[in-house]
Amino acid sequence: MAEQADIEDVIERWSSQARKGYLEMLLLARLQAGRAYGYQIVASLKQAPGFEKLAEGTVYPVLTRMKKDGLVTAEWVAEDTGPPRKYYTTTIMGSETLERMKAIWVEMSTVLNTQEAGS
Amino acid sequence: MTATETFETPQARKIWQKFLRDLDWGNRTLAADESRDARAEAYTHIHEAMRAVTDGTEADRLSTAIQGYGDLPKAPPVWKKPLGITLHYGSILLIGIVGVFLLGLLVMATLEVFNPDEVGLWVYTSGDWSISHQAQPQATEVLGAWFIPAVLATIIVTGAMLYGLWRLAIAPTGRVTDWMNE
Repeated sequence: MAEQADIEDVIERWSSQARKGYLEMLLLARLQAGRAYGYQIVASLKQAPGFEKLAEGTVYPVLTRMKKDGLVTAEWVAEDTGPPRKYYTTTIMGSETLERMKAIWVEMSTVLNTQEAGS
Repeated sequence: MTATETFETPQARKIWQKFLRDLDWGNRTLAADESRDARAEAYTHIHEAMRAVTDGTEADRLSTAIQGYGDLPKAPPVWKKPLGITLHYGSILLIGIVGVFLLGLLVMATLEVFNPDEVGLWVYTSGDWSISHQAQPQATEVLGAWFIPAVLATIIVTGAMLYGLWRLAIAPTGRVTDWMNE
């Protein structure tokens, strides 16, 4: 008989996967509020429940992919103190994508409710 | 975009160099300009993260900032690639030289069929030996009719070893080839 998994392990695995799936949407949502640079985005994200232990470096490959996909643009800006910062801004396509993602999110919530109701 | 990466202490500079090696390794599939950009962005991030840490030496704060950045894939040791290249091309040379020698043996085995009295393994009174297609003065041929199977066995065993070496060090899927590409 297979050994039963611990509920915490199951939740940890599931939520970790879920967070990875949400990340692109959350980044778009953050950038929708205004342009931001990498550390700023990460710091904001790490304040959210479940993201406290976020490995900060994991955000950058996602931002790079989003830039390649045309969802965001990036621009280096020189700073008076410290090294230059790379600011990200959502594109029109990025805004539209975020709206579609949010619609899917709401749809999933509805699906969950209907499944729980058994209908 | 490039940033001037400045760390005051040698300890911090050493930690940073190690971090950069791992970062570059993780970004090895990126184009050169993208990799440079990723470096610059990582530096900015680490710089900002270090500002948020108030305690400890520069090296401590850098270590804390790098820890927060997350685990990067570990870059292979610096010796691995040059060793891989040396083994790869050394193996090509060795297989070439030994291959020519084995071809010579095959020719000798064929000659043995037509000239069994002169072709063979000759052992001199001094203890030296040679494989020759001519009878050697002050030497005795020791293999006789066994010359052909002995040569064929040598070719098969050595050929199998060379094949193993080829698979290990020259084949595109070989481990040494992987080292070269790391």
